[in-house]
Amino acid sequence: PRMATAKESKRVFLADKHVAFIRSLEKKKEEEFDFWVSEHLRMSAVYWGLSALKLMGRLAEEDYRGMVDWIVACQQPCGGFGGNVDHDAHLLYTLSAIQVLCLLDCLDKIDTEKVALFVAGLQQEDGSFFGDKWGEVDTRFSYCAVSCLSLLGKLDKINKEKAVSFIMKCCNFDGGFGNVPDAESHAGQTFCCIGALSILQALDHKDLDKDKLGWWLAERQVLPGGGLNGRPEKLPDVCYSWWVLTALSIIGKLDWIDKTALANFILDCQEDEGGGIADRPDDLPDVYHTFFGVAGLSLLGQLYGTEAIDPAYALPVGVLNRTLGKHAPPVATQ
Amino acid sequence: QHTSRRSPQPHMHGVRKLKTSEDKERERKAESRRKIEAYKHDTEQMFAMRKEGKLDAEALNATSKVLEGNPDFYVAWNNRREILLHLQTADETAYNEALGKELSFSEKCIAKNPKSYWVWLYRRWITMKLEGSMNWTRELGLCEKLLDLDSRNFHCWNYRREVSKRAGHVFADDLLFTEKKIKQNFSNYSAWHQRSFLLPLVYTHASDLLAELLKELELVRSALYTEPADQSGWIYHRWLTGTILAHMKQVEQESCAQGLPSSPAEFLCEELAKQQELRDLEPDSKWVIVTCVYLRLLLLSVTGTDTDTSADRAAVAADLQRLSQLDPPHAQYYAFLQH
Repeated sequence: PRMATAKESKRVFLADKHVAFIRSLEKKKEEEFDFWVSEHLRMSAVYWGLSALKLMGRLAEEDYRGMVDWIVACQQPCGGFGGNVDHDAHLLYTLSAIQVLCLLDCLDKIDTEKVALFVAGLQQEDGSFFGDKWGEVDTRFSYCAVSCLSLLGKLDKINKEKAVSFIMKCCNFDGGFGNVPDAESHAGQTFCCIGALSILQALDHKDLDKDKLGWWLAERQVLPGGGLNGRPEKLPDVCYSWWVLTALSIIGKLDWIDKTALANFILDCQEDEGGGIADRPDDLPDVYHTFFGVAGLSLLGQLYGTEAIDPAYALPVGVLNRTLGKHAPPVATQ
Repeated sequence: QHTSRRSPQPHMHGVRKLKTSEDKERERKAESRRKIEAYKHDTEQMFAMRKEGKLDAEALNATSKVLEGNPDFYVAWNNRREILLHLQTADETAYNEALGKELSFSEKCIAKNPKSYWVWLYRRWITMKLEGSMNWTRELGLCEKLLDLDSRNFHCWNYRREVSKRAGHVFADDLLFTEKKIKQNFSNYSAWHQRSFLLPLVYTHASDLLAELLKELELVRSALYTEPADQSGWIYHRWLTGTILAHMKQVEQESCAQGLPSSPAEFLCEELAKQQELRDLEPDSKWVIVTCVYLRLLLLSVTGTDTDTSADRAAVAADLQRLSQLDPPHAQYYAFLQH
């Protein structure tokens, strides 16, 4: 149903409310069942929360330095990070840990070589990556590995050509990407593949049809709401709005969708009492969708006072530059 | 994580006193605390046993409790694998019996959580351990049941491909299955997607494939007529026409079976004519119109330089303008096509 005009005129970005929502997650949530049932992905939740705060210009890094001890405690002997203390190492949470350390400018607090060896050790003969020692293959893990190693300045530890060729094996008839070869195209997996290709500087691959992919991505926009879905004939969701958006941005076709309609959709997903952003209008908010909503608004043109976000690394541009700047190759002295 | 609000439950007047919202909040908090205590107890028990190196039936049960409450608690799945691997070396008979029970446990988890990556990974692991004694045909039946419930579950489609191979099926069998799904419901992007890579795997001879792709065009046409607003058929149709064209350029016309178009241009003109018939029924469908544009652009690409293409170019321009009116959000895409 069409949104009421009253709501339309209230399409304001409620930054303060979202900041309060995120901060409240640290305190009160200990009494909420949802907090406990998501303990296995706490590392990612911290990344979502802190990134959202940073994008809104409200991350006081000093306030979170204490968190570094917890992050270090989540590192396993193998070098990888688990979702929480005592949770087994996995690529998903290893990337989140590195991203959080970048946000807090504390990468020097860990043994990055150890992390890099863990990550690189998960690459297989065909260029794919296991998520952990139990052997699940998924293009999400290709992205995690590539992004993580790049942030650590250690991308040379993997076979980049094979990483690219495996990703391209997951490219489908519609130009999109699935999680394994022959798997159906999905916006989340497409972001992972395009993001990884971008970081690997392989966007000019001969089998990557950016026009075809752009059309498939553009047709994720569902009207009249303006939100984006993850696959044909599925419901729009704020998280897909991010993944489709970043992929479009990376291939240079961000204007193939109606940006205003999308921004309005995200704003309509805001919870105006307690703050936070939900998957779609009138649902309950959570930190995951709050991050993707804020990130989406940022990518739509830095409107509403948010900082710029890098579409491939999903980190604020300032944080990314600060991190990558430390790995700048030494200038030749000859 | 997608949480819908529940609308307030209708209540009966005069039957009982309504609880105050304070009472309700207190109850909710107490219930929440109970759930948290139970949950924390289960996870702490599991971690404690694991730290002790306890890998027996009791430890297995501890992981079950955690997973029944939270199937995404991946450490519990890892712990479960460790317990089974230990059993494999300690007591082979008990191990084989346990594997059988794991299949049922896994099936219950899938039924409750058909979209959990961790749940599907565990099933794969168990079936690989069972290898020789697996009933792959039954497994295929399980996939079919799940796809009846949700024909778009890509975890299930991925798993079905692996199982199909192990059950001794060939690609042609898989193709038949996708045809069955499409005939049940044309709006099945997942099934069309499988066909996009199955067709060339089944029809390995170039001219056979071409003939089959042309038949496929008629299959998707039924979808376009039945559900013109559904994008599945249209996205597949675009791929199909582009692929047919590419194959026509490769295959020698003389050695082809009869009934195939004699040239790429003839094929495109025929297809355009068929789209025009649908357009007469659905004049404001952006999908039909953008397809006409796409076909004309392909036609222009195969037309010799000595042919007058002004009519086609004018038609494309007119259609693109119409599309910008019908589908304003994609105006920039249509501008791109104009270039």
